[in-house]
Amino acid sequence: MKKDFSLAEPELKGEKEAIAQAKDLFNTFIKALKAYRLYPPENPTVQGLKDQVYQKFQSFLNQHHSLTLKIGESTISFQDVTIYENPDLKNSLAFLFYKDGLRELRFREGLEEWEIQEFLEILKQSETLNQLEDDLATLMWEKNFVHISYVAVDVFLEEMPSIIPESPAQFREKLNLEPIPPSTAADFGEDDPEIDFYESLPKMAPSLPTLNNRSVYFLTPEELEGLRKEVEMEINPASVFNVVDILLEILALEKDPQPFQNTVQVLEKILDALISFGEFKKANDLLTRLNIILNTYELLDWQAKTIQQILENAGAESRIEKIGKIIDKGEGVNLDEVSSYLLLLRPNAINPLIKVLGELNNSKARRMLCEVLVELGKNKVELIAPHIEDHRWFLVRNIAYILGRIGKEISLPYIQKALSHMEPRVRREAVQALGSIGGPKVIPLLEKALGDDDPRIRSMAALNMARVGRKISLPILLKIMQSKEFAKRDAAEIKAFFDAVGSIGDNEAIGTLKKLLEQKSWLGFGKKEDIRLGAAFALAMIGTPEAKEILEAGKNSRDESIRLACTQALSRKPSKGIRDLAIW
Amino acid sequence: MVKMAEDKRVEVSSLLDQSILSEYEKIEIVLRLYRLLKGATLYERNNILIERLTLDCLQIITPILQREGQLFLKIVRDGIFFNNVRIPIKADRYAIFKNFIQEISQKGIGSIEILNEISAEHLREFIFLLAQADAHKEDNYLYLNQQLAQRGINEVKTDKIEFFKDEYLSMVAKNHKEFAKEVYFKSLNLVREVAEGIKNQKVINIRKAKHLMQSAVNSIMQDESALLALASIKNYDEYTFNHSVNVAIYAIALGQRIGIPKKDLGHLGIAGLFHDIGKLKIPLEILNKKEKLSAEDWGIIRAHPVIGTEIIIQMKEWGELSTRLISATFEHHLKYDLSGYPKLSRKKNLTLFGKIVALADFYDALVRPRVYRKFPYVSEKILGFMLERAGKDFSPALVKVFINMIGIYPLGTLVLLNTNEMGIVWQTQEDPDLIDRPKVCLLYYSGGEYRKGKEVDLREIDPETGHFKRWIVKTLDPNEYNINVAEFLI
Repeated sequence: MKKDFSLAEPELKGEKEAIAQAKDLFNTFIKALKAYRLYPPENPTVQGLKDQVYQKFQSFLNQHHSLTLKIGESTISFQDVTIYENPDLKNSLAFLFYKDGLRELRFREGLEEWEIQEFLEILKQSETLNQLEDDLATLMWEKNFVHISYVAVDVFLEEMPSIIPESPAQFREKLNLEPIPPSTAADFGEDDPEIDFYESLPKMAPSLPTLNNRSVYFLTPEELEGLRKEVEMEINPASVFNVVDILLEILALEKDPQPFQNTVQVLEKILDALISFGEFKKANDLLTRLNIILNTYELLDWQAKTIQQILENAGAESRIEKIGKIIDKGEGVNLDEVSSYLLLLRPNAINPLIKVLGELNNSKARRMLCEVLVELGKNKVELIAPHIEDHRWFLVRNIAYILGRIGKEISLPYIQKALSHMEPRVRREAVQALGSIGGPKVIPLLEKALGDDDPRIRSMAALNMARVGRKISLPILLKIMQSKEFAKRDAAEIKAFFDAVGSIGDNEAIGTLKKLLEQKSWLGFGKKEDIRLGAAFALAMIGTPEAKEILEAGKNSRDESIRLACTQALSRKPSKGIRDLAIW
Repeated sequence: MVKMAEDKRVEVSSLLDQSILSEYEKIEIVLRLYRLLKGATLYERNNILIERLTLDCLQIITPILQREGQLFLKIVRDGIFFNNVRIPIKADRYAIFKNFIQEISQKGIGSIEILNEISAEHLREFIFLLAQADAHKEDNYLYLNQQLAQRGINEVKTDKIEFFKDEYLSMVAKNHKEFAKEVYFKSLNLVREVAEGIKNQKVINIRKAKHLMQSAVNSIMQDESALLALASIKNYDEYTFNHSVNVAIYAIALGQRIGIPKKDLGHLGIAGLFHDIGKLKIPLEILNKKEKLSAEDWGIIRAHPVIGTEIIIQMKEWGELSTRLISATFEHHLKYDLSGYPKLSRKKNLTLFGKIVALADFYDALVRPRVYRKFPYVSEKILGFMLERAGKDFSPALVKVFINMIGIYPLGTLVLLNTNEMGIVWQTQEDPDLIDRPKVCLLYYSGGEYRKGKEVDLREIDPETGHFKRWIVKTLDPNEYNINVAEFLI
């Protein structure tokens, strides 16, 4: 009969102390378990309580060498004294152990921290165990603790009827002496099933080599090492993904809808797991192989549809959100692998990807996602463009970039909206996008941007106009450059406009440039220099004999600043194109 | 006194944390001690072989004692620690290590401590005391220490084994063979239940399979020979069930030898049990057909790895265990060079579980009794065949481990000795050098049937001639003698 702790009067002081210690230890353990169930393991409260449990175990075991707890239906006792009781079986820790057959727990001296951690982990897991597959006794057995042992009753083995033959006669009764059907023979798997290998084996199989040559069954150091590695690979948790190969083979072989669907369901689960574990290379491989099956195998319609559905589902919002969280953390994620995976997704992934793009903090991940969207959106501009109206300027800028990289005129009305955006960074991106899209339709838009409030945007517009519009842009640019107001602009902008004109390389600009080179400035010395230098360089970029003639003449000018500008311009290397220009 | 020794051990062992032992020393110390211990069970103290084995031991022990000041050998679960450094157990020496652990721990001894240099006489005396200690007596260490003290052997101390659940249960179940039998026959029952469950589309109780295979792992980890002996039963009840259980046993035993951890061994066992689950969907008229099978029949039968995989996919949530079940089921006929079936659309790496189950499956299928065959399939033929096919059908390294495990004369092999005695291989030798010298249970004919006689150890040397007393001349076909070997094994 068990004693109640409060009523117990142990004869020896030591015993009493041990019981008090055990009770204290167990109370701390329960607190730690509660915390462990509520909070993530790294939570400071959990950590603190875990440390306390460990210390209390150490202290107890150092003194008493072991702690044996007896498990009852609703009680846990130490030395016949109840140290835990909870008649509410639903919430009873004792019952949690008891229902799974555990009857005794023993902690031994030398108990290590990882054992406490794993033990808590097991108890946490016990809440969500699939009762058809697992129980606490199994989890404890699998952990193979060194300093925690248990005694359990095995209800499963006990409930099985006893069918063990008690005597040779009984054994003989159940012997199957019928000729064994060929279907159960060892299958040599040879192509010709007509050959009876049982008959032919004696002729073909040599006996084991002579005992003098035992080396044939001694393992070489390489073989031992090979086996060690194989075991290591097999017990690596990531080995669960090896099953993909088999499942894909099943898809290729199976023509029956039910098993095919079951296989597909497992593949989808695997895909989820691969994403959760950040195994994007494997996820990429999975989708690639599904694509191969889809495109090269002779599939029935429903099979093709099912595979298409997996590929479609791969870009489902929930999965993309998960990927977003992973890449935003950035730790240990290979963005190239993520990118390769995302590039295999279908257009349905575009909207979720844009949603994630708007939420990412990691700039590298954002950049990668933009490039992915450029590829995915090539024929789906209509899915990307509307996001130009998003309320977040940074996302709008990214969308403008993506649309620009896609380079389709269909985006122009959306880019036009971005051109009027209050955030200059968005307008700048829009101007770049217009430059990337090109074509006559972008000229009026770029012309509008030439009047932007932001000098960098105007500069960029000028350069892009030159690139896109070439000759058409020339009068527009020259007109601005001849205005009185132009000379007041800052040096970088002035240079950009002259570079733009120069890059067009047309003699039509020579007259205006000459005028600007030689014109007396009504502004300060610095501004005059900027205009002259810009004009001289533009002439050098044009590079025609007529342009060179003006520069050569300028070298002998009586005006020192003209001389200097022309000399410098003539000595510069010819520009390769607009990308070399200053503003870039 | 024991407490004092413990304190001292803690102190000394902490100093020895830095102990540097060569791989050679770590392995040799166990091998040599084990050989001496086994010798002590066979020969007298003054036998010349004992003298040689003792000197062999000292050759390795003395330099360590001189260098390290002490030698402390401790058994913790299934591992051996030597001066606080775990001795790595390798597949080729696995059996000796395992048996050494078993031999010592069965006697209730958990550690042996040699504190100073020891003479040959004292070492021999200690080993003989140890060899003679009864099994399953927890206080043997007290007796041993007392006896050592009485003989003035102060440089050796022993301590008791620290029990863990599994060992404890095994000690309680005094007869390990009984425990193994229970596991074996209950596993047969489980496979039947699973088969019926699948036919009736019932939910399969994986938890039960896990428990059973945990017991099988415990049993094999303690002493593989009990279950391996039972695996020589080939035609009890329904062949498929019998075969599945045997495959599970061979797979666990093989997996254990190559160092697969306990939890994973449990999975391997279940994979073995379920590897042929696909056959449940093969029409009975083909499965039970007694005539030669047509190419079409074989085509249907050869679908069973795929069907089995689909059954597993349906019955079990995807996870670690199901992955392994799927691998073993799908791959067990693929062959090492992938030339088997199902035919693959592209190359894949076989999993370790797939390779192990394939080997176990093939061996068990081939050694089943061929009631209607004239030619006796003696084990040398089968093992020779497997060796020959290594690299094509099987992993070469695994075949070698398998042969080391099964022995050239597997448990249950009917053999003829040079003395014209007939016997059944009863226990294989763990030392690969003695692979052809198992223990044999002699049979004698009386009352119209063969009966069990005495057990002989083929390592036994005739003191007069200095040669082995008995050796195997050849293996015999039990059918020719109307002997059902399994009857003697259960």
